[in-house]
Amino acid sequence: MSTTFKNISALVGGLLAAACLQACGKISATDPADTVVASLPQAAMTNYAENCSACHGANGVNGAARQLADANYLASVGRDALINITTNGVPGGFCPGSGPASLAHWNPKQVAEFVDGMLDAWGKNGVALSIPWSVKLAPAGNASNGQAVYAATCQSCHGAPGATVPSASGSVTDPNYLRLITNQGLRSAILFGRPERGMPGWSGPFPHQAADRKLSSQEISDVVVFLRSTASQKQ
Amino acid sequence: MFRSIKNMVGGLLGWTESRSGVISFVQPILTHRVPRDAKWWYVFGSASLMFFSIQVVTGILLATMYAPSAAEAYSSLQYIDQEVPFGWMLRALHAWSSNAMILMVVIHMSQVFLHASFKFPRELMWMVGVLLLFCTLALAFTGQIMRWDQDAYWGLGIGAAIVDRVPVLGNQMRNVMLGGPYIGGATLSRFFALHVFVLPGLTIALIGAHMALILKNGISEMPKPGMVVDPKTYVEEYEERIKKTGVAFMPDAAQRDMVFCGLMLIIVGFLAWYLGPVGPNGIPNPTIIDANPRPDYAFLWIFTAMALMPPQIETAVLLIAPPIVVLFLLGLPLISNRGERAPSRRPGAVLAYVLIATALGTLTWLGVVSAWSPVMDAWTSLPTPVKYLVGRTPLEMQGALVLQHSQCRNCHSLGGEGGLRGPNLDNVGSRKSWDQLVRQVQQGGGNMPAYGKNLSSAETTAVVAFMTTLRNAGAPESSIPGAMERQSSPDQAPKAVASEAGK
Repeated sequence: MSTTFKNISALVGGLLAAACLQACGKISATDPADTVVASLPQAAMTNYAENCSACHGANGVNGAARQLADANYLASVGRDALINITTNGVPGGFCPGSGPASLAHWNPKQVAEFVDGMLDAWGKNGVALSIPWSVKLAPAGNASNGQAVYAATCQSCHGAPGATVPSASGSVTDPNYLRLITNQGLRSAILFGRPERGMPGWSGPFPHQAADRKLSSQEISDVVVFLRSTASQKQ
Repeated sequence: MFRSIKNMVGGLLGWTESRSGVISFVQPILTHRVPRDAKWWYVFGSASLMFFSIQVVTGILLATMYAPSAAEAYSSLQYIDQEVPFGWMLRALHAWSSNAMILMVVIHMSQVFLHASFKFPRELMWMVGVLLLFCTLALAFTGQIMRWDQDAYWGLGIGAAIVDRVPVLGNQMRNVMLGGPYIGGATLSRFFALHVFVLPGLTIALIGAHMALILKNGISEMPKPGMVVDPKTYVEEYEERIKKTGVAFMPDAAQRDMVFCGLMLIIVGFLAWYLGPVGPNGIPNPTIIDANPRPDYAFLWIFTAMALMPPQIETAVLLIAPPIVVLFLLGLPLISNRGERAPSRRPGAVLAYVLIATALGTLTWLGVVSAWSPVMDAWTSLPTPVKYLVGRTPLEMQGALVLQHSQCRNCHSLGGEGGLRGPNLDNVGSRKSWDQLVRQVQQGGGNMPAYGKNLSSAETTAVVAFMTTLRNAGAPESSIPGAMERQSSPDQAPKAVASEAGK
């Protein structure tokens, strides 16, 4: 009997020691504010590091979501709209916003400080585009015009809709992609491009096109409508 | 005047007694003789019973107001907390008295083990007691589900994932447990039935058996070194000693029980008033930011053990350990039902107890403080490593957003940062094929809850598309275990997945 107990005790003791060793080796806590480098003022930076950098990248650049360290983008969207987006997030998109109603619970003063910090650090010398940024102010689009514009300026990188060979920069007519991105997201991507990834904005240059080929507000609306028409919207 | 009242009461009692025999039934129970030295060590069983009674009373009151439907449970709890006068106190009492009951049961069991009271002739009392322990824990687990909040969701999700590991029958067992492949309304209904009908009924029956056995075999004496239990002579000797030196349970022993129970009642009442009800902690959706899912204290050690165990041995341990523990606990008095009872003569048993208690205590403590059971908002904003975003398609970039937004990194690390409960995702595309990833995300498995109800098919497709890019550069598709032939289609996802996932 007592040998059984001794054996069991040895076994339990061994397991316990192993668990403790495992635990010591496994604990690693990182505060995002320690690892995220952002050139924002201190309070805004902490807020950015804890709430935004996951998607928008460590210094407002190189994230999966839109680059925020983009002076022209910040100037075009403007302070009021930036405050609105920061507070309420992007309807239909992933950005949850950080305002009083969100889980980040920033009060309006914190939101304003954050937006001003962002404009100050990343928005210097930004030029507001003459083309309306918001889909609410954009002209209505035409799908067949959009198809022609797409074929001329987008297709060489993103491939023809329904193509069987993967394109160089990946499909933008993938129905799953189109279900996850809003029309505003598409318009912003076309208008401002993704500079950190080499995608040109409205002013090009586009491959195989004249160097001064630029997209108009109407053409951007047309492309958005065309892209939307390639996939039936299930959601 | 007084005399006439006394006569009336006496007459009523006499009338009842002559027809029911209730007094002659109860009296020997109340005055049965217990050992004189059975002092404060013996109050914990009574305290467990008292807390169970509180659970029954508060539970019945709560059941009159609680709506056991997935759509209404959460709001009915808020109604009880905020609208019903002292509703919050009722919920707080139910929660804290549940914790206290578990604590008392554990202390009671420790005392019985250390004093070896389970030895002859009380083997069956111990076995019934072990079953009562399981009933108590099952009541605590199902009660936690009643809150129908994030903790409930995660507790269930992980429980279902454990059940899912059972070979061959795992899938069916999970469906029985959850009422379908996912956690839903049917899940709450069946856990409600367990919590308010099945388990309390079973517990009451087992308590009855436990008590009947106490009356049959008597309470054990305090162990003395050298006083050996020998089944041949024990009963006779015990009865002789009790006759000589024993005292009546009522009032000699019962008064200590009453004092202790009263004290415990005051403490639990104070805790309930001071700390308030437990939960509900946020609506049950695993993709919600700011979640901090943790099981209740009684189960925290399991949660920790799962987090620390190397994944290769998890299935084996989860399927083999529980039956061994159950068999060991039930079979203990059969292994050893005679001999010394004093702890000083049973060093092996004391050492085993200390080790088990330390292990459970340490695991629980680690579960409270450790980084791999993170306060989840600590992880929400770690950027996706830049190298994983270079040259990705628009869909894959959306997938990276889904991965961040759904808080995958609370449990999974990427680029060395993130939770450590699940495997890291840096190379996940080399370990799992597209189809396996879709299945893992939608149905969960291992210790991961199913996300099928919380991610749209497009989100699932995007996050899987992103994860398939997380692999060693240049590793051929054929090197991925179980990889299916993937169609090179412009829409990234194999057609079958896209249509199957479209709900």
